[in-house]
Amino acid sequence: MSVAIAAPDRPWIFGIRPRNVIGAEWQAIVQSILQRVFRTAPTGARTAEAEAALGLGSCIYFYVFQTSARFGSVVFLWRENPSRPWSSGDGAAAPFDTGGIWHDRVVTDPPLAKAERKSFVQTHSRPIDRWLTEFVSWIDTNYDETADYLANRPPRVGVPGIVYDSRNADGGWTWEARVRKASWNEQISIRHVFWSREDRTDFETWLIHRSTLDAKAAEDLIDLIQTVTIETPRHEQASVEVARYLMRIAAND
Amino acid sequence: MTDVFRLWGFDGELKGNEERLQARLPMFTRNGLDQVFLARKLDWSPDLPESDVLRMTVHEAEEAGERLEVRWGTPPQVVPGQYVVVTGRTFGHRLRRLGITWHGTGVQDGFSVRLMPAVRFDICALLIESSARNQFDGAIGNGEVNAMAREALSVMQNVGVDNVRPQLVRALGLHFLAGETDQFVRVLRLGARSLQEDSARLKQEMHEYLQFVQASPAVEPEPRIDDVFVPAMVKFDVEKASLPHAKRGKIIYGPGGFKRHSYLSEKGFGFSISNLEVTRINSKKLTNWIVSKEQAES
Repeated sequence: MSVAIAAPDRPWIFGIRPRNVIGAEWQAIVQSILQRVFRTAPTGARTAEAEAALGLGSCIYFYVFQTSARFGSVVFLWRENPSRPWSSGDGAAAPFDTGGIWHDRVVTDPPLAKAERKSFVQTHSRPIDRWLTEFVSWIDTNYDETADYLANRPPRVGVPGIVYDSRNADGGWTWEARVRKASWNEQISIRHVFWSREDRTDFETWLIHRSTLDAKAAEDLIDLIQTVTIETPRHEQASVEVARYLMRIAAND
Repeated sequence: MTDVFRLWGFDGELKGNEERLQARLPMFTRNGLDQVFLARKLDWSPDLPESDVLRMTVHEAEEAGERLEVRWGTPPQVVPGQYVVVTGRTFGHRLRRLGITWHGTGVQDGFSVRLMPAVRFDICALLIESSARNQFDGAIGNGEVNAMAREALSVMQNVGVDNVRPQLVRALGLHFLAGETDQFVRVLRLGARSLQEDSARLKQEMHEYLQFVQASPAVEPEPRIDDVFVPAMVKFDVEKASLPHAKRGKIIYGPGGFKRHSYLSEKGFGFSISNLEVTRINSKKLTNWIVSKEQAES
């Protein structure tokens, strides 16, 4: 394992739920993501509850170098923009699902009282401007190979208190990066979009005929799509192809 | 073990939830199990993974719904290779507007149900798209930029056929004839960008198309639904059809090389349906159920 790994090779992942599970026009959500318009993005009730209780503020959440079928319909890979470095107050990263801590999806032993959870998350969160160093260090400490992390194997050491057995799923040890919506701007950009040809076609058809976006902005999105698209097999979730992609990166470690 | 098919329709309160619910259309009960399978994908088919369906128990479904009275003359026999399709109030109306006939057995409150042979979804999509295209061309050929033409174009754009160019050319033709300059310019500009070609070429193609259809109005007969089969109207922005069917094992290949499924009972022959029930589910309750299911999964 080399700590000289570049951030683009440890991309952040942001996927959307299966497109037809989304309660609004899924294309409108994809459009917002492509435009990086997150400030006004709605927050789910459970997420808002966790953010308030844990003192996180309103954030956008990413998987760090990992993917998930739950958010695997259309998947966006992000890379940092070297010319727009993070400030430490822009967000944080943690080696577990922070919302899962609040909502009991991440099991600890002994169980954390509600009042203890905020400090637990704060203690184990790292400032966003140090996420890469911390993440690489975590991989070195906890796995023989990066591929083991990608394969959702639990860490050797991990975080004291979190149980690493069948009581927890991968949310207990998958890294999460969270960025305050108010801070979101140009610090990261889209490197790839993984989606099927059908999804892409449906999106572009919607963009051309239905979107209220002005023509120049829509044109920019079409250009972006042509640059970043990786097409996935028709009957396969995009997250499957993303997992293969990440595994190829890990194989070079 | 029971031979009861349980069909689930929606009560029309779908606005804003169409896409969400479409993804979870009840598809089939399998092996006679007393559960409802809810597909996760629009284009779900039986050969996709089990992970792409959710199961709603009959108890849960009945809590969220209301059983409807089906006005069967004689209870039907569902045989291998058939789908059971339930459609909502506006579906038949919308198809009729496109010249496609639809005959179903009446269920209360405007729903209808019918049995039909099963074919692959993409074959259906192609046929529906073809029908809508004929309808559109006929209208435009007669110089009629009317609601039917717009409806047909909407169907073409939503049916999910990966054939963008003919849709673009027709949309341009419609905007051109309707004098919708802003829309015309937008579609021309973005369409050319999407196809990565010169907008002048696309515009020329539109003129060629208009000349062609105006010189030779469509005379090709419309596919009739009786011949076409629509096992899933899931791409339509109308009330939803559900298509429960039984699946037993093996896949065979039908004419044209596309897969068909044979449905074999444990006795090696088709299901004998002793009872066919249709239940209307309140969409809000179903949405709540889906949300709770997802939370439990996470």
